[in-house]
Amino acid sequence: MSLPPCPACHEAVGGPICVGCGLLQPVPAALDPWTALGLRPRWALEPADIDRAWKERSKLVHPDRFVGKAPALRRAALGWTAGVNEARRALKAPMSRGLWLAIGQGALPERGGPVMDPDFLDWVFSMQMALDEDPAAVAAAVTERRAALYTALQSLFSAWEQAGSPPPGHASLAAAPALLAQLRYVEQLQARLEPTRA
Amino acid sequence: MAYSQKVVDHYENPQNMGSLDKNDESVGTGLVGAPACGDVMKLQLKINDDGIIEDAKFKTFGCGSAIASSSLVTTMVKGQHIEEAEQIKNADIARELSLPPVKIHCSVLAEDAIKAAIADYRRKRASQAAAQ
Repeated sequence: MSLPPCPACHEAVGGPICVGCGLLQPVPAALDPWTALGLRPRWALEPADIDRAWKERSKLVHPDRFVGKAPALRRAALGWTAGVNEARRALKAPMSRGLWLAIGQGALPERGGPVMDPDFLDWVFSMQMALDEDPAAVAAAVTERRAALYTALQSLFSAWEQAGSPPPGHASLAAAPALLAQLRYVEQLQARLEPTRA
Repeated sequence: MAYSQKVVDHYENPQNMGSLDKNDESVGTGLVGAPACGDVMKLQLKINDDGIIEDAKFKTFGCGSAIASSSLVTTMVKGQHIEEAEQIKNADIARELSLPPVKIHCSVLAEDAIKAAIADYRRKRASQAAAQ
């Protein structure tokens, strides 16, 4: 997503602060996490990269810098700060990061999400059933499944990057929502295995 | 957000929890999942030759609303004809349990489970008829 030109000097802006006149930009109505943090959309992102981008952006838009300024600027500072915090959270979680790439939002729709493979649901159900009896076996199976999902997602998103990182909804991303949904089920199982860390 | 008393009742005292023999020709099994939250629900219906649902059992791994929705539908469909049960809409379930908007997908899951179980039963019957 690119930001609209600066309302004051009409320069193209690359971030929350106009490069031409230094004005804090109004917060766009739909702010995606990549734009919020100024990161190139991609799957392979280290938490440290996200934290670094978050820290830099937070410094630029922090409300403390706009104390005593016009109300519109203070509102914008608050809005950017909220957006930047939310973006950090959204990109750190692999599932929502993948969903932002694949469908342009951080969560699956409540209805009309991907149709789940019946064999996969069967597997989830049998794992849930076995959890109390043999948690070690379930943990091993879940770890293996998670690793396989990551491999599949990695190759899917690297093919997408080779296609020039097209926007959400591109054909190269068609399989992503179902894989990310599987990740959701696997995470659910993991949460039951490690209740204290959930 | 608080759960309604009906959700709490079904959650604390679920009706018809368990399973039926999935290889029984008169049992239809529906296994459905909600990708948005990772819940899984299994609903099994025992259906007689007249198409009447004689027994219903469920097993659900999910939140309180998902458990309550599946428990409720087992009580609703027992004694119903499958064509009647197929008409149950998620809105009926959501209304009965006073589900908040963020939990509507649990009632959708329960509706899908009924349809999947009946579809499975019909498939079994069709392949049985074809074999004869």
